[in-house]
Amino acid sequence: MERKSVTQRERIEKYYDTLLGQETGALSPDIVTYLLLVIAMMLLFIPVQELFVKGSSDRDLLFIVWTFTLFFTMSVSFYMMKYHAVSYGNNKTEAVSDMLLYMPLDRKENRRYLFGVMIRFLKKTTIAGLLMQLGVALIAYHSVSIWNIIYILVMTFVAPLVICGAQIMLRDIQPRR
Amino acid sequence: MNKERNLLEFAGVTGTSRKNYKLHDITFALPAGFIAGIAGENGAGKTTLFDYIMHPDKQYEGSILLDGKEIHDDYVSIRQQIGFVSEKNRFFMHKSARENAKLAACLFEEWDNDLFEKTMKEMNVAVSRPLAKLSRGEYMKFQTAYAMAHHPVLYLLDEVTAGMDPVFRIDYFKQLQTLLEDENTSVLMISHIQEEMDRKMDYIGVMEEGRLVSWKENL
Repeated sequence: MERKSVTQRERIEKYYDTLLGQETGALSPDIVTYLLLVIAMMLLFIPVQELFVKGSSDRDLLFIVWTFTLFFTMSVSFYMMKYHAVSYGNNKTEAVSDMLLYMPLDRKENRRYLFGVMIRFLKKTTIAGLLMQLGVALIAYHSVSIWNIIYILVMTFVAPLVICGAQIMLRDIQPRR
Repeated sequence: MNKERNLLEFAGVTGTSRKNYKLHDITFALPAGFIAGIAGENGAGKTTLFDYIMHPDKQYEGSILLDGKEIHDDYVSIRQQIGFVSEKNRFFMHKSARENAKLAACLFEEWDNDLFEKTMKEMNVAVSRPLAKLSRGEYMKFQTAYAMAHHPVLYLLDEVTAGMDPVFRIDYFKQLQTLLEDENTSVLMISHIQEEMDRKMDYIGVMEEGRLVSWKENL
């Protein structure tokens, strides 16, 4: 009776916890994640006023937005990589979705779990981004604008959620021939 | 044995997807406590038959019942009751049998790790070796121990004994017989070995081009 009370969500969480626990030696994805994250986050020290108000060229704006999106999205991808694939040997990988194909697992719940992991990560980076952006705006301009908040929300939450969410859907469990 | 109670039942199952490898009007019933073999040439649809049971997104008309319940109505709980042994089943090959079992224990409700370790020991397969280093026979034994450990009622065995030496096959069927002693359990296996079909199976089905052209008792 006690076993029945364990929900699918709890089983999935335990599965990934066990999987990650077995892969404690694989540090490289984490190192890459945080390296890319630091590079991306440094761009958030440029206040949005600098980009829009002070007459920066479209090229500068595009360069910053593009560079940030590239590095940040890559860092989220690397962060999620450990939930999608296990690396071993000489650059060999095994896809977790393949291993789950014949398991008693609710695929929708699995997707929800992976989205949950990503959203938790994005929430933390969004809060950090907001603090950096608002802090610099206050120091440099002695005021903050709604655009400081919108800019950070779009760049560190909405855009990566869409891009990396698509990756989760594409890597979903499906039969291969 | 209870021939009155069908454990697995296909009733007029016809694939409706546009892709190849479709089944056509498959109907048969496997009672609890029996072992059935499916024979047929390559491409006849034997493995596809298993796919219809194992893949929740297969589209078909008719019904596939496990112990009276439509198999894809509640895939997660039905899947708990099926032991699947096949080359198509995927495991982390760089991890040991024990590590793979530890992961399975998170998802299978009735996982019995003591039974897994005991069965592996009885079959002489090391639990600490990476799966990639096991021979095909050892890998199949591992999969069988893995299937047994979650106490399924239906075993689906896809050409498990192919290419195995006769000693292995004798041992393997002894193992299956012990499973069938529990009258709630049935085995459906695909085999190319005629002698195995004639001597070991209670029911024999023959498939051709996605159709079950024959299903007969062999008791």
